[in-house]
Amino acid sequence: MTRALLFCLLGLIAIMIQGLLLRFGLPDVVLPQLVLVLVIYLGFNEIGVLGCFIAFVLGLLLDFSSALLLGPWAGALVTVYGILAVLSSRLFIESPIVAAFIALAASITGSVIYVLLGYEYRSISWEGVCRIVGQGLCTAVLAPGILGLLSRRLKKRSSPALGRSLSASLAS
Amino acid sequence: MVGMSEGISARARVAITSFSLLCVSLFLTAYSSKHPSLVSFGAVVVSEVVTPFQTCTNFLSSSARSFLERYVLLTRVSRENEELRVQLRNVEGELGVISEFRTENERLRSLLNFVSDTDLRGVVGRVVGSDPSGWVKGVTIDKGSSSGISVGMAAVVARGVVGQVVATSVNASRILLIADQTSGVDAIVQGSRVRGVVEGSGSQLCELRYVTRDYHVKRGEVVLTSGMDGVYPKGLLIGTVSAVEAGGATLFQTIEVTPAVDFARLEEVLIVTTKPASAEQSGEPLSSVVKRLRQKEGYR
Repeated sequence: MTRALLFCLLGLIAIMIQGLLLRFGLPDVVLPQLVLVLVIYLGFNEIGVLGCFIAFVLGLLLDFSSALLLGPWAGALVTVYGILAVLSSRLFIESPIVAAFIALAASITGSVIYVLLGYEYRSISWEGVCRIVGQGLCTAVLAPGILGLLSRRLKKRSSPALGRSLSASLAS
Repeated sequence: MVGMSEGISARARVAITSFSLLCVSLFLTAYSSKHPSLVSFGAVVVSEVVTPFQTCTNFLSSSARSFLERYVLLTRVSRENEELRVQLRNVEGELGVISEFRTENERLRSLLNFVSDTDLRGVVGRVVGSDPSGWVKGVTIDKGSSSGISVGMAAVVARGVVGQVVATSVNASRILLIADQTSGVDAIVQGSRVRGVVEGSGSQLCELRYVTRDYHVKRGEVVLTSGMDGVYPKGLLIGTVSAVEAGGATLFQTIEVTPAVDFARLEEVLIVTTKPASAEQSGEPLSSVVKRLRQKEGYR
């Protein structure tokens, strides 16, 4: 429970940073998806029903902060989490390059699911496509560092049998 | 082997839970589109947590920026001009503060003039944040329900229409900009008197929609609010027509509108809390109109 609250707090901080980056003039095309990086971390280190719910709540927080529709980000993040958690034992996230590629793929997948879930209310334009790719690339650039930082700060205490632990590898 | 089977079952549980939550998300998306109050409730909580930090960070960053501008560039100056530099620095500091006050004063004065010209009453809020995902074109201001703001109120600046309030908490409000795809403003073209709905196009531009090909709209024409949507007062500037495309097999024209407001540089907005006087007059109850006419004609 403490861990879940901790991730919610980190999610709020990530949302705040994303909002401030935009406020200070960063174009939304190159906005890094920090909340998604948290979900990637969860997908490799918090495999279970609790992880699912944390990813879902992080998505809800993002939806609430947009104050428009409730559900698109929650659905997108929980799907990304599910995919990563299921594939976590087959993905070699040791190297920062691989972590960056996973972040890129996860970001693009998450954004596409977000767009699909809200398609009835929000159509996709060329700018939207650029945003998906741009945000994915920025997230990929920052993800290895943030994941390393998270893995150093939030030591995993549960079963190492469930996939490769990111913390040990990136810390080394 | 046992560990492996446990691992597989754990992953199966994750997959099933993820799929179930995805279905819940789909339901929530559909439900919240019909019941916006559901989103407002959560947005209130998130706003109350996030906005004080955003306001604080705004203040710190502007202080840091002015510090950098004033002091870092002066580090290479030689010692010979030390006294002069100290004086200059002080003057620059004062000028920086005065200049900041002056620009803020000008912005607020233009808002004040706008308010007195249009008979609008409202609350001025400072923009403290933007939508964190980048997909929704919206901003957060530092005034909420404690200042009399409620959902559905119009947000304007002296240059034109900004958007409408979609969620409020005690000390913060979220404004959906007119450039967002889900936003719509009932509009009228000033010259040709053609009516349509201005919607966001997903970029910084807007589109005037539902104008049939029978009407001739010219590039450069001014687009104003019609006041028919019950949100925005009549006659406020939305933008200018920047492109018209009447070709193709569609029933309606494609009219591109460049908003008058630069949304990237929004600092203060006026939330219209009361309708203009003219609207109040036009909203006079029918019973009182009949009573007045009867009294005027001596009819009983």
